[in-house]
Amino acid sequence: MTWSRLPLFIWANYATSLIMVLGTPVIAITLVLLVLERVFHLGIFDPKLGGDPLLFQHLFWFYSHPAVYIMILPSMGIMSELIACFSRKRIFGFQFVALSSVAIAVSRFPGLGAPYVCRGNVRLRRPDLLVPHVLHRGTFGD
Amino acid sequence: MDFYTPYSTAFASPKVVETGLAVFINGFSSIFTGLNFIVTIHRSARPE
Repeated sequence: MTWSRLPLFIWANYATSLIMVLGTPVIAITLVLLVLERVFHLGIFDPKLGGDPLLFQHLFWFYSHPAVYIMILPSMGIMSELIACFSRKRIFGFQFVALSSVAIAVSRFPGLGAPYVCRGNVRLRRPDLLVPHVLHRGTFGD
Repeated sequence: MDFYTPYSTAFASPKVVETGLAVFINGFSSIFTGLNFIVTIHRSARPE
């Protein structure tokens, strides 16, 4: 078994695992900070204690924004296998599908500014947030 | 129940800590699952 012979479902799960390993530690650390703040009254997120409420959103969305791909990528892999199986054809563009699964996973992280695009007109003032987001959306159409 | 900051500090129900720790443990479960998949796929794709 080589990389080019791995089934597409395995490729999709590989991309999913990359997101899980890159993103999940951040949400775990965020929740530890939240617990520390509530138990020991450290000023991390609560502005009344001197914390920054936006910091929570930054950390939260670092995980939650790519997290949608944890849900959709395995489904895409399953569909690639099912359609190829029931139509009794080899999958079209195997290499393209496999590599784009990984590209979806990796390219999601530079586009992390996207959640802030919804809040006010940040998009117009922050090309560093907007450009990776638009590149991702334009390439993968979501 | 909300982890977003104003709701998890000033207006929160007292169960934020318990739920946070639960999700923290769940997070570790996800990390180890991801590591397991990555290592397994690498070892399957290129066996020794």
